[in-house]
Amino acid sequence: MSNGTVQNPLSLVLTLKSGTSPTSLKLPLTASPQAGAGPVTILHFAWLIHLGGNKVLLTTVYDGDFDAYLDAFIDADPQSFNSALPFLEGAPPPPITDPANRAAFHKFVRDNNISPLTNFFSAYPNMTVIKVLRCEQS
Amino acid sequence: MRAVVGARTDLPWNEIQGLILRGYSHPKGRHFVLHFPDVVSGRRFVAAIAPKITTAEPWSEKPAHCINIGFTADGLRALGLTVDLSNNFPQEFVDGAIARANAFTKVPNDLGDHGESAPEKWDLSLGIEGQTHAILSTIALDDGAREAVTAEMMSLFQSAGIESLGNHDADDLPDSQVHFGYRDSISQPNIEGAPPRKYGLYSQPVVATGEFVLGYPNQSGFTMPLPLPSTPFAKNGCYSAFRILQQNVPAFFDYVEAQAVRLGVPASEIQANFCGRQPDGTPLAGSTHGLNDFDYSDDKNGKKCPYDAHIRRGHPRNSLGFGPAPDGEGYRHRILRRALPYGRSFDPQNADRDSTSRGLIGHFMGASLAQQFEFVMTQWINGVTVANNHDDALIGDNVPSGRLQMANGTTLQGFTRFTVTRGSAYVFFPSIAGLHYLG
Repeated sequence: MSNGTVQNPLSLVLTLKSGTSPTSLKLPLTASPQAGAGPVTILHFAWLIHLGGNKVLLTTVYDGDFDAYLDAFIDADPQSFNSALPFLEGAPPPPITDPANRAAFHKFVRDNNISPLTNFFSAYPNMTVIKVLRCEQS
Repeated sequence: MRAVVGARTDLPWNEIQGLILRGYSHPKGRHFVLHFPDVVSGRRFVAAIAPKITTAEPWSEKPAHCINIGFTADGLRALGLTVDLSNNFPQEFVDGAIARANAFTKVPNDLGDHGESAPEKWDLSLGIEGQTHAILSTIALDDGAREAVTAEMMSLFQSAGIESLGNHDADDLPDSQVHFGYRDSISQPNIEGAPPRKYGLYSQPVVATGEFVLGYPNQSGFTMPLPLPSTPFAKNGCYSAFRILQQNVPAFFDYVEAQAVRLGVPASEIQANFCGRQPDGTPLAGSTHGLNDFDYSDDKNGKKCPYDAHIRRGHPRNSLGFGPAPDGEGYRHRILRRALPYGRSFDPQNADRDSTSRGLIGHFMGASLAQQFEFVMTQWINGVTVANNHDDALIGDNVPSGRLQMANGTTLQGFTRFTVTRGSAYVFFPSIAGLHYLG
């Protein structure tokens, strides 16, 4: 049973290889969240920010454990990851489904995630995406 | 053309261990925990057991017993293999059940194998690092057949020079029930390309072969990498979490009875809310026909089946937030459940009602332990991302105390953990060709 905040932030700084346009990046599996075809049930918010030059910030707020769901994202749409990996500095090569590449990608995400300067604040710390959807439904 | 489930017709049934593609209906089981003292004896045993393994090939007459075997990472190392990421073995298998139990202890994303369920409390040496090399699972028609196959196996162990660290029985209960009083084995996945079931398909979507058998496309259309890809080792194999799950049945029924009295409702209503099914298997969400032909389209608010009911957490289907079949997230992460009860039936009048060990033992199988067994346990059963912020009331860790919102809105709380882990091993079931490669 959880008494703490179920939501967590992820702030991932990505360095693009030269020649890669920041505007060509896409968020995997979020194009049609209502379709529910992927594990979007943990993502409250997700967006990309161009920090200038070859730096891009991927920001999300998610529920629970990201590592487990990262694998769910990978397995639901490995092609999106395979397409993006060659353009990211420091990322493992495709295929992402190769166990060594998968483990390296988990490390890549951990290493490039910037911890918040302050505590993570949430106005509703026990609300998961699922619970928010239920409130919206009722 | 032979009859199969779904479109695929090329699965080599005689190459695939039978436990994977078919759920045996034999009522008796005995699982052996094996240890290989050295490479030579281990390989000698594998060579001897390979011809005796039951495959998925349909039989004309039901055999008196079936034999299947899975190997831990330590077991494969003991047979001389290099088991690591560079050989395409997945991290969770390389780590093994003990390490993963100790890694996933952080509530609310835990496997549940902590406290009284921690590896140091496990039976049959399963909790001792490096000891468990294989799980040999025998299934039998009756007690006589179980003893006969046991004698045969013990003779093989002795002649090969390997050790049995112990064994554990399984015994079906009347009417295919589990000790918590529910009818069992209703919702197993239909595997594309599997032999047809005697009683027809389960009423739910067919799941891609690669979700359960290595070497074939999974539900996303991708064929996951095979361990030791240049060898016949992995294709047509499957991973499994072997589990011994002790069920605190007296505590469960005591709680159910007490709440029934408190709320003035039948005990069966309380019981049904824990599971999401009536004891006879009827789903609370309603079913157009049979016991499994349903989803949650008409129950977005959990007014028929509680969000936290066991079947809704373990297999959310199209519960609110999850997409439609067959590719919606709530239809993924399926697990083959090849398990039977163990221990005497619960008798509330029996004086030793609290001292008998009873529960469920067997294999929870899939092509990815991380994305099937571990995902369901950490994210849905004990996690926060499918229901409310507490655990599956029936099989979750319920720490510090359980809570369940019934379909009528009443909240049940203050119950203990009803299911305790008494053993676990992550094993790989190779194909017949894989066994010959090992032996």
